[in-house]
Amino acid sequence: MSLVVNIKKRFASFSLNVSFSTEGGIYSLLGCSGSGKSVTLKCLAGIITPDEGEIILDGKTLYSSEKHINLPPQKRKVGYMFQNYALFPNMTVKQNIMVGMSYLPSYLSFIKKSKYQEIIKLLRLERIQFNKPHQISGGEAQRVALARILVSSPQIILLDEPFSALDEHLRTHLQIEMKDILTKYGKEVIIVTHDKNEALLLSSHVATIELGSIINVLRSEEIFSSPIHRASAELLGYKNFALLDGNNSSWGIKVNNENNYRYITISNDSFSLYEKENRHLVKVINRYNSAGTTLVTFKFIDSNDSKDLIYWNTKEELPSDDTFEVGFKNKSLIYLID
Amino acid sequence: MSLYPLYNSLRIALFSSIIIFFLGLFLGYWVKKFPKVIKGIFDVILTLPLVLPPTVCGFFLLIIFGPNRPVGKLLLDIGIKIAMDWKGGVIASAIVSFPLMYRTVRGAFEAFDENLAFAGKTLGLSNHYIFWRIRVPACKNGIAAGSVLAFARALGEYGATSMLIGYIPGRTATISTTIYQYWRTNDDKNAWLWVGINLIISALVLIFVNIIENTERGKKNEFSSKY
Repeated sequence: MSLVVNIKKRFASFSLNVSFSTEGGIYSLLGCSGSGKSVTLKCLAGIITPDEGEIILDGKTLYSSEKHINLPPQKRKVGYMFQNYALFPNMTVKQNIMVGMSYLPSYLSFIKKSKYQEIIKLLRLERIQFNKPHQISGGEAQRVALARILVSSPQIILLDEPFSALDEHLRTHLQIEMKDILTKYGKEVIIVTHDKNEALLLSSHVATIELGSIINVLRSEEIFSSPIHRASAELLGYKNFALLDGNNSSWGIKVNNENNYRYITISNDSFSLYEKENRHLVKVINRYNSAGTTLVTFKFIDSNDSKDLIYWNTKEELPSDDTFEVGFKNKSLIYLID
Repeated sequence: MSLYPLYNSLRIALFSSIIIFFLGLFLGYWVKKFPKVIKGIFDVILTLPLVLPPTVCGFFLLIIFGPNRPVGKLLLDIGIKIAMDWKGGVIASAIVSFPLMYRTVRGAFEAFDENLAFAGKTLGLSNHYIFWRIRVPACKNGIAAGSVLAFARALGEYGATSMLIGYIPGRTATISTTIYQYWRTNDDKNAWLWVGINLIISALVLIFVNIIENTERGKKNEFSSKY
């Protein structure tokens, strides 16, 4: 299974220029709102037509400006889950799912019935199968939308911010459930999200996207083993950045920059009062307490002229004095390119 | 008292409503897809009968369908009588009441969540299926309200109808032309009777429209409180 995407599309306010390829598994497109991630998905599904480029799914050309191919969405075999799930309001849950199997001729209705029974069991929809969409919960609506896509046997499934319509406290549980189902299904999946935790939890690869272009495609389990761009690190939730000039950082401390990287970053839970490596004197600028955690902003004492505040989230009991020593492990430093 | 005007009015209103229904659905959907400027032009043309005096519509209709005009003559030659015939009444009331259907339907189609149509497409459903089984049912209240309003307007049409088909008792008389005729001949009793009939029908229609709109609102509230 493979997807090759190389498309351009100009809009009044920004232009999309996306190229990436996948080789099976679950991919996340991680980006802020307005970065072009949903537009990319809509181009793949045939809802928006790119200006130029090509989209090839498993060797089949879905779109090619050169060969003048632009398959209608009906012929692409691309399953698309909308942010609001787009369940047909005039149909029951059962009808919504059955409609996904309209590609099967009516003499194969026994196959439709058995596929239907299988999917409602898998997604626990038996209880609500005769309800209308406005009579079910958001989590249930999501499962119905997924069921409808799965029975339509697409070659690839696209999920557009699948959890954004759901309450925060439901999400983690549903994310794990979704991952199990999608892994079991075994088809190619692309998830669009602005939530790094969602991306890392659900997918095998994370592609970061900014201003209409893909910045990095990273394997989730080895996300920082290859050099990545600063913008990707920002999308992945890093807040502490220092500019590097040789081994000197704009934080005022020296680092080991053999490969001449441009920036360095460190996550805001990497510091400790008790860490023996890299101990430095720091000056606390502010402390904010909430629920047993303290968010500290500080500067390294050697760099009082630096503007870069460093964020540190800690549960450790901090000295009342504002100047003390903290340490961090060498391996928690991540080197970045521009 | 002859009930012919009631029968003729209902017949004219029913046939013109059927024409308006399909034409309104088609144009309401078709015009929505155009860029803003062209949409504006179509909007003006298709809504014009709503603001024009019905006599102006009647005037144009006579110019087209009058027995001595090319189109009218051609139709007459193949045996279709429009002027001074109930079929002319169908055309006149269809044109005058069309904007009510068109505008209501277009509003309903514009409020339609286009993602539903896209979802249908990615599920492999034909555009035909999406239109009749997803778009129209989702907009059914707006479509029903538009149809009922257009029916009521067609039922009470006077100006264009009287110009094109006149008043011939037992042949082209409608409720509204009959009222005018009774009033003109100082037959207040019969005029009141037909006014009463017209009032009852119109009130029933409006009550029906209100019921449709209220159920629509109720459903929307139930949905929005959930998501």
